[in-house]
Amino acid sequence: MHIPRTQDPSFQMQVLVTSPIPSHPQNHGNRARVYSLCRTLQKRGYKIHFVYGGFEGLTADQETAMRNAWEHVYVVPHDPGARKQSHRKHHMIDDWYVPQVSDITNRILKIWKIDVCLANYVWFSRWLEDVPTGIPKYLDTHDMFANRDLSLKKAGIDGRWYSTTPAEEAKAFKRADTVLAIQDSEAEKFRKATKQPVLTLGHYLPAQFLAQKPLTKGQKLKVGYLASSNPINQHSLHHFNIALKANPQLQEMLSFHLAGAICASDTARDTLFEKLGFVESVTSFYEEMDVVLNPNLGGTGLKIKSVEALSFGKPLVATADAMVGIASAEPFHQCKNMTALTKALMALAREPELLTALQDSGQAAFARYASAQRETLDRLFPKQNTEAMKAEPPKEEAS
Amino acid sequence: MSKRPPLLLIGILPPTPGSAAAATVQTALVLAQEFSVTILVSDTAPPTNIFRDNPAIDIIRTRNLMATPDVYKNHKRLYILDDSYLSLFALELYQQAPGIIWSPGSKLNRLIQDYFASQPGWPDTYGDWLIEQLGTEGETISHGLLHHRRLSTNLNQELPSPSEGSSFRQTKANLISVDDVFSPPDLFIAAPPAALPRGQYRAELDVPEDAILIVATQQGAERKAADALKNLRSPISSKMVFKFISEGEENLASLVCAADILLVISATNFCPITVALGMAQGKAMIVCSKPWSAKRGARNFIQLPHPEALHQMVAAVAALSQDTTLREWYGQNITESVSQQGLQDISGLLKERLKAKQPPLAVFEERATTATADATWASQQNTQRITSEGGSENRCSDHNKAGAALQEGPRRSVALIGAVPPRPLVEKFFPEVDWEISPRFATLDLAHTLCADAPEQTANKLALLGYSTPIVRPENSVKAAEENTPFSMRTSSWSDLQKDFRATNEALCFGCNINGAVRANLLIEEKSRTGYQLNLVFNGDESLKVLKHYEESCGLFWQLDPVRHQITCMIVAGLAGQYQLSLANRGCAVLVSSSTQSLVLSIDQPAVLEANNLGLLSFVISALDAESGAPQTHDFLTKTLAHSGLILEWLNHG
Repeated sequence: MHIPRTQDPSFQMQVLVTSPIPSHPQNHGNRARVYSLCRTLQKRGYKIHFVYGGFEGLTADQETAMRNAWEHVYVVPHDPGARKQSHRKHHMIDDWYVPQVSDITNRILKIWKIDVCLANYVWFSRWLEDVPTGIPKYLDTHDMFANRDLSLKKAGIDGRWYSTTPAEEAKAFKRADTVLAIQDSEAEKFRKATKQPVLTLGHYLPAQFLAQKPLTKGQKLKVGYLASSNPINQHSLHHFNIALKANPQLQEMLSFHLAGAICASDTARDTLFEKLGFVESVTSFYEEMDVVLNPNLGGTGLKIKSVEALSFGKPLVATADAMVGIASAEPFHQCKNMTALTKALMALAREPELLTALQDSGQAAFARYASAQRETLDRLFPKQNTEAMKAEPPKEEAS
Repeated sequence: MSKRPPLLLIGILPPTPGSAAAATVQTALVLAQEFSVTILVSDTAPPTNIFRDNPAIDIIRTRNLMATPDVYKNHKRLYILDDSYLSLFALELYQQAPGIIWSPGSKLNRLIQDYFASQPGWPDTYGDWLIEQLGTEGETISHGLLHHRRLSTNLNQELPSPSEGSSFRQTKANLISVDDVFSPPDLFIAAPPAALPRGQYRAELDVPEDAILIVATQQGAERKAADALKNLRSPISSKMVFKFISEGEENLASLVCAADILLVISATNFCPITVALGMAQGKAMIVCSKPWSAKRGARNFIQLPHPEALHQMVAAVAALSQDTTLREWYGQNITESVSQQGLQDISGLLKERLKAKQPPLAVFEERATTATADATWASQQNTQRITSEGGSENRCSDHNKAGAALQEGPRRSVALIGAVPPRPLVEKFFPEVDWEISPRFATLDLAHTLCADAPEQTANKLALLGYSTPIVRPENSVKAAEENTPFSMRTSSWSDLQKDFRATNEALCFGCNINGAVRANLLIEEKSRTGYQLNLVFNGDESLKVLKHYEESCGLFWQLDPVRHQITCMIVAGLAGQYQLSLANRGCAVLVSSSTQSLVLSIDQPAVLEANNLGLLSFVISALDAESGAPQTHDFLTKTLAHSGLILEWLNHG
């Protein structure tokens, strides 16, 4: 005999999540986003059914890590031919969709009592059309893909990824009950394209402020940039390299350290950064740095690395582009270009005492940001008061 | 009579061809004069007829050693290695129990390559080893392998043999200690072990005394040689008697003794054992021109430029057969040459070497008698039924406690828990179950058994086998204790799990006992007494070249090992009891190895396997040549299985 779910303290709501990208390891911003949201839902008492669309392949270790993290994991085998382009100039909304995902989600919906459906990426949302009425459907957009190639081109970035038209993107919006934008400026644009409710759900991370690294007189401040190798990051690094080379004095006053997949890129070959490669522990990287740098230029969406750096409570120097979606009036967070960025770094090199204030303002900005995301989360995914919330988190591989 | 010291000879036996097999046979015969010899072969080695009538020599498999290691604790150990994957088992055993190593072919690079390929870290670990051995050149070869998937075909010539390479001692892998390597200056066997007198053996072979007996080994173009020799004109050929043999013959020495001419058309770069025996007995020999033959003196043999020089071979056979003086001349040359070269009897050298002390065999961790299948020979007499392991509550025999069944009604979602049989069987016996929307869940016992070889990959493997999460645990078990598993998977009781389903209120359990679930084994027994049959298909995705695959249609999980050229099979049959495994077509043969036996399977000779209490069948398949019984590669294996397939038939309950 079943105990009614609402009266059963051991009952947990179940979320069906699809993602074309894996959640492990979190060495790319979009993976970090997917992981962070699902992990947050677990902490709120939800069980995760994670359907991975196989876009980026999967090693045995990755699969094990995902299966250790999520209650249910379903993997679609990688299909190298999945990324087609039906139209000469742009992608159609379902060009990158993998039909096996619908087979899996339909089966899940028939077997399990799914309470919420969450699709990642507009171009991977086709399955939402088959979700029975009554189950809330959310579409986490991650980015704006309407005319994305044009906006990247305008910023001088050669990015070849998915790009579609506003009309095609709107088709995806219509599939969801609520559209989630990763930052406010994109939410505004989405609201003009669709009648569906649009909310902003940024990158939610718990605060994990690190103690300020004590300054040693005479020792150069360490400036760190942790990034993946995507074209936008490489573009930014390239321009920062130029600015840095033009400023020998800055090179003498500060030491620059590069970490992440970007170290293996062509752009990183000719850089003045010391290359650390992949770092085993992101925390230890941030602990080691005095200043975190985000020189991003152009690009769309939210710069997850900025949120991450602020979540560690480290002093951050960033371009305005790198802080889109994160409200901060701090001048060091709003450098207009590379020249302004290098000037900001020079100011810190000359007056390291400024780091304390910079750290404080960064932590305040993060607190405000995190609070806003929590509000959205509370609205979409109310915390479940269940025994599961008191349980230990699932055992999973370190990212 | 003093007791002979025990010796464990780890090697290869016929029908596996090659120098290592020949060396194992002849060495065993020689050493059996002074030692109590036990030959150890791999679990997946084909059965052999060698030494069947020789009480002085025993043959065991690796599983016998692992089961009773104390019996062999104080045996001296001699490893005879072939330069191929066939000796992988021996090299791995050597890592745990060092002993004397002898490679008749002297080089071991292909074996070492296969060793690294079978271990984690390939190809980087092999690349590191190449660099250690060859320096910069090794780096070039390693780069070719890592980045272009190319390996030098002449690598064997460039790498040192274990006796030459002192750096073997220094390798990180520490594969072989150079101190253990037996490297005789030459391959020479002085005294033919237990060879019968010439006349007696010729009589046994029914060869007239005045006939010319030509003994030819089956290495090389034996068929072409036979055809070529047939063309010899009648007056020449009328007194010839040909005997084509394998170098692995137990009576090789007697055959050599009885022969007038030895025809050894071998393309190997090392001296064949037949030649070594022939030199000891002063025989006229026709061989292929190789560095080893030049080393022994060009005039001692008639040397053919290559194995295909059939006209020259016919001429040489004709000349030698017609002229006794010529034969005696060659024989005398060889005898003088042996004396001049001071060749040492290899068997004598081995015996000297074996006198040295060896540490006792390390006691191996006894393999847990987990649920694995037992293969018995159906056609053999006195087949004993081997009872399955497991608790009495899991036995199918108590079918008088049938209890509840599934409620009649439309097809619906039913949770399937435990060792769920393949889809066709579930659909046959339980038409109410809608397979498409009926989730399957493993139990802890099942998960442990299925994933014992790689517990850290349990979650992945269970998913590959079609199991959903979580693992179902008995109702009253302590959650914390049972989650303390090597694979840290989530568990749930059936009653808790039910809350997460949309409309699944019933469960069937197979090979387990779950409160609230219907015991399916009992229902299957009631529904059918005639057994069932499954066609085991081995389709993987050819385009992706998968190495493992789960065939939902027959419940078969298979994993190909391309290094050892074998396929490990696991079938979640769902019911305890006996199953018959057979090949579907003629003209092929495979070796089926389980935890207790290794048997040849053909269309006329099925095998009976007994599933454990969880309803699991496990065995390893390797391909054999249908005629000779020699092991074949995995390409041959996959083609054999694609051509024939296997049929699994449930015979009865336990």
